[in-house]
Amino acid sequence: MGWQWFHRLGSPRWFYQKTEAWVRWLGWLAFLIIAGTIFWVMAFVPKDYLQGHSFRIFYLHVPTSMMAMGGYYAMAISGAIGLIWRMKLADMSMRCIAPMGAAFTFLALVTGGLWGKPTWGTYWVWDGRTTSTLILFFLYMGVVALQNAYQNQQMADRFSALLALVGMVNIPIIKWSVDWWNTLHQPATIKLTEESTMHGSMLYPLFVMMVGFYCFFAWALIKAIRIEILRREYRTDWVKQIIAAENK
Amino acid sequence: MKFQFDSFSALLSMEGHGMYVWISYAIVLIGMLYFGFRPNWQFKQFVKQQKRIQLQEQQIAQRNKQ
Amino acid sequence: MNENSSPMASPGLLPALSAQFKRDALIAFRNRGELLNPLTFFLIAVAMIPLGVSPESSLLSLIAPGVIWVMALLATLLSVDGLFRADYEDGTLEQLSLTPHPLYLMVLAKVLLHWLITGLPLALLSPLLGMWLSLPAEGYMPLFLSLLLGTACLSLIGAIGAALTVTLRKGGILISLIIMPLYIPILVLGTGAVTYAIDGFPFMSLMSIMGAFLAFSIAFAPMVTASALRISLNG
Repeated sequence: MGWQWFHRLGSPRWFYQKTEAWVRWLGWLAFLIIAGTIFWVMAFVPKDYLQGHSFRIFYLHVPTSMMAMGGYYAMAISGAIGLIWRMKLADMSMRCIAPMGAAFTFLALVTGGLWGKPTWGTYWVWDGRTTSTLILFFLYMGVVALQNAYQNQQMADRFSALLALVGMVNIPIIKWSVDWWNTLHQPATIKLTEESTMHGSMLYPLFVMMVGFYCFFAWALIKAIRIEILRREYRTDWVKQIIAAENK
Repeated sequence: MKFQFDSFSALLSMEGHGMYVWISYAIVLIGMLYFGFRPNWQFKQFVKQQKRIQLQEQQIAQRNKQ
Repeated sequence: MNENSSPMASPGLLPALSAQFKRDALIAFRNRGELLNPLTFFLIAVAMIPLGVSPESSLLSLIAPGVIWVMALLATLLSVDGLFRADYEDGTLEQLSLTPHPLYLMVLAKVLLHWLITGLPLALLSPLLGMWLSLPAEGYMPLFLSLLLGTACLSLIGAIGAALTVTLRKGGILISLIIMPLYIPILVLGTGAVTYAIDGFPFMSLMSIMGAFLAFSIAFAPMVTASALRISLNG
């Protein structure tokens, strides 16, 4: 009995039918949390005494950066599961995470720039964290490009899973080398990692926003996987029934 | 908790930082909406495409019968 | 080393490896023209920099380590693209995968040859290019050493990309896209070592880190390459 759920999870049909209900409430949950937190941040969070109101971008920048980083690990781990246990669903989730993760990395870079301009006077600094995020974006784009290069779905999945795993092993090395590179060149800018003492009233909305982003990620990912399931299982009877039911 | 702005225009301008704040919120929200609702659009497209393929298959089958 | 116990037994590991190595070397040597291509690319691309930026030696000496390293990286990347393609297309790769010997070592032998015919000459050419770009005298030794170790890492990691794109008719830009981000630590260390030496710091500690990188790459990169090749054969 114990492992039954694991095998079930490998069945695209089971997943499709089970998530029908989840999607709706997960979407509403994400919407309510994020919309509520934005209202909270915009209306009630006091401005930072150093950075002023641009600090409000922080509440988007941190969650997007987190999704960017976490997405890569999620992608690589699903890729590994797909490679090792040949689980169809893991392959699909890897394929669906890649473009989303790339988009979040891009958004993290954009919000970082928009935060930096009013705060430090420049959109772009080659500091350790920004550079690492940029490289993460390149890693994502490599996986996306590899996925799209192959007509053969199975090969595309396995190759990009391998690449994602190699990337995951490399991320700590890249991070270390970029940090070292940064100390070597000592850019003449303000240290971005300086800890500003954050009051609780400024910190709580951040945590709530992170939860909201996690819900959003889960919601969007499940929706994307559901489409991917339909596309890959279009020959099966149960998908044909779904198509027939859409008779309008 | 205290409301931080005196007026709606103060909320928009945020002492000169408003443009950066609102643009980043807009960009992130547009990105999220895109990824959240793209599947809905893809589903419609998928159904349409499959219907067309099924129709073609039926037509070919009929022609073969005749 | 010939220890064939029975006439029907397949050759042992070392004879098999050396036979494969000799075959690849022979093929490379027969296409002598292609052998020179990465080197010529390296030379031309580096020569573009004074033409494009400025012949001013103070400026050139500042950017020399980075330019030489980036060009070496691109030259390796372009040459590694076809590492397995010919063998894949004529079926040799399939035969190799059917031998009882681990594909890992076969890959390693291939990468070694690739390094010998591209990475090693690139490192040997580096003093000449250093001269072109008026690299300070302290920079020559670290540049040569870092290229010697670094290009080996580049070949090993590049082989992963070559294996991932072997079934595509044209890898070209795709392999650069997927492999270049993985090259960043090596680039940073290599140029860092040269900069260190020019600034008067001891650079050998960085060489040992690079050696550790190389050891790590030798251990894992051919493994990934071999599994990617297996996927392209069976997929």
